[in-house]
Amino acid sequence: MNIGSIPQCDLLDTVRNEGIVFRIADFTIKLQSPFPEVAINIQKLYTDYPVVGPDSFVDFHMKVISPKGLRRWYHPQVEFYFDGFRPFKPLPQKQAYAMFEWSLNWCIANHMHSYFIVHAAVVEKDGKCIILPAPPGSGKSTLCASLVMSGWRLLSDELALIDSNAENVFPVPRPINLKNASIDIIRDRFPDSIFGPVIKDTAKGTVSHLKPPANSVRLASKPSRPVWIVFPEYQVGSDVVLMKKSKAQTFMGVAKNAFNYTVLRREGFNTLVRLIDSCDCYDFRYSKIDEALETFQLLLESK
Amino acid sequence: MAILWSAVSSDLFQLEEWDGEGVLYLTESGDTHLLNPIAVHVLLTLNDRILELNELVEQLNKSFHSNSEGISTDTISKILAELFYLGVISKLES
Repeated sequence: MNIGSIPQCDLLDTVRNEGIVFRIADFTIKLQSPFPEVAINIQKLYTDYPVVGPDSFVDFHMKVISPKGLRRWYHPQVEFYFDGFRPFKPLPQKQAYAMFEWSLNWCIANHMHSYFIVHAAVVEKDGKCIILPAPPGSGKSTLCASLVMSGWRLLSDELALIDSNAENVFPVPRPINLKNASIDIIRDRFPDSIFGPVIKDTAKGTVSHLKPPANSVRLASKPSRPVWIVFPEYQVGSDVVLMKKSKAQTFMGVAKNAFNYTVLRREGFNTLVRLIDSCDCYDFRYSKIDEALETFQLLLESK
Repeated sequence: MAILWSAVSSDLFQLEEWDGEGVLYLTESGDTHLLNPIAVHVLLTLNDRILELNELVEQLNKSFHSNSEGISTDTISKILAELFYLGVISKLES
């Protein structure tokens, strides 16, 4: 059974009480929240994800709930609990759904150290995947959304999960977090795109999450071979430029964007060496989506 | 009294090289540093042999076939100081 097939009133009730247990690729999540907007948007954006039984082993026990105290009456807030621990300060209640998404990123990045984890989007076509590491504000998610809405498979918008041999990137296809002007750019360019709520005034500006294609979710247990590492950068008015990047510079750039490079120590170093050995490396600058899509198609056809 | 330079035990670092440039992993601290091609060559050379500064400069200029001015003693001295600071080379007095 998928989340989309549960009647909404039942889903609201489950999320509010015992919690919904569902799988995203290799992870099982249990989510409890009294906020209807969390359950409604889970159903809207996680439609194709399988629900598992309440007795299944759960990787992440997540609660997105209201803090106690008088403040809830005059300035309602939301806070996140992971296994009874509260890693973040509360946020305004209207950011409840975004808090779930950001907290799930945190859960994966901070606990799944069997993978080498890089802050990167990952997309694939014809069995070849591109890792797009980049800091926030680089245009990574806009590029990633454009590619997956144009037929590329989404492995992740945020987290590249790489095995220690660097032979596979494991998917964790979840809604793509778009910010500010990117939301309308993608909505206008791809009218069939489905978005969650537009949430204003967050620490990242205005954010909204784009539903991943059903096909990417269906292939969530199928890893892909890394072939390219491309550092994207959106620059207003720029011509499209794809330029070879030295492997040593790429190594340092990926290490800088990795969540657990220092945790894994020499194992992390050796995994990254293997990854760099097996990939062609580029810097990519763009301002127009159509030019970016054309460039990536040419890159795909070059190998 | 001459100063001789040598790489420390290879257990203490790992160097990987691509097209001349390298990345250096320090075992004790877990830190990683980017090395330019000359620094990579200095470290690899001192991993094979113990050399004085002048011998090292001569060796590098032979290996690099660099421009007419060659690699200066000053450049190598600065690289030796940085590699020494990182703890991947040691000096001996003869």
